[in-house]
Amino acid sequence: MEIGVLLAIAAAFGWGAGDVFVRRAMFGARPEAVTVVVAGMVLLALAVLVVVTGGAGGFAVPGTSFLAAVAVMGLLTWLSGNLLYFHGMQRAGVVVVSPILGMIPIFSIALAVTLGGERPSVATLAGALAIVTGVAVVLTDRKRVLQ
Amino acid sequence: MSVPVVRDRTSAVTLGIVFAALAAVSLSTAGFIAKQLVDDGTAGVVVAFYEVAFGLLFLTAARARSLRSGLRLERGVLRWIAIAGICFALATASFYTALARIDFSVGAPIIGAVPLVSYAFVLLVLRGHERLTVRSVLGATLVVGGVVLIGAAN
Repeated sequence: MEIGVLLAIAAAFGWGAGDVFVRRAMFGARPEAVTVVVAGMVLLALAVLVVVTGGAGGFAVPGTSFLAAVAVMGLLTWLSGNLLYFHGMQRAGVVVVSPILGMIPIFSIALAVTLGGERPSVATLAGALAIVTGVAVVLTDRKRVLQ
Repeated sequence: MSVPVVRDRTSAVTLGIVFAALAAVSLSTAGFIAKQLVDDGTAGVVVAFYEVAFGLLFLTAARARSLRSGLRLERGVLRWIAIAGICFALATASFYTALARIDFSVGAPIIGAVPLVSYAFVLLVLRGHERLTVRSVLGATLVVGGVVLIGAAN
């Protein structure tokens, strides 16, 4: 299997496990506080990884357009991404909101079609339909969260 | 008295679902931008580092008032946050490094497996707090099946 695919699978494991640990942490703290401290922890761990993989020179910034792009990413990932997701997790629980993240491939395909000019195949559309159906099935079960 | 309570709880769950959907759109877009950056030659771990640095800056600025009153956390909570932080750091660095080697349309569907991984950890960490129903497992399996189909098609 290609190393890129293995790394993506490792990422799915990291995010899947991390979400549950965050949910556990939110039993004793508010989502805002958890999000900020998690972001701080992630920054610290990534700083270590940057030094290990590239030395102190690894922090060199390629240019201002790079900084603008990562600023937008920071906004999307942490403010409208993780902060909202952690709020959602606190309200509805991991079991309900986690499959909604499974819809990421659909949004990604939409981006690839609208911005990348790609045309999705029949199999891709069938996969998207399965994902939407799966999320709908989970959402119809959300009343059990109330129990 | 119990009817309004249940209605409030239903509203909270619905709001939580809307938040998660908005988060999914945001995270997809951030991944798309990350793909452009790593294709330009920047290491995935460096992209991840600066993304979190800006994210922390924005979070602190946006939520400063509410954070002032509630950033003191118990040691038990900090332990879970530390483990989560390490998981997220490794996940982000792995995914952005992966995007330098594979297409976004291949990498993104793999991330669709997150719900099943979460369910496995729910059984280990949240036993007694959240429960898996047959329908939720069936739904998550459909999601992952769809993700596999998209991955195979691309």
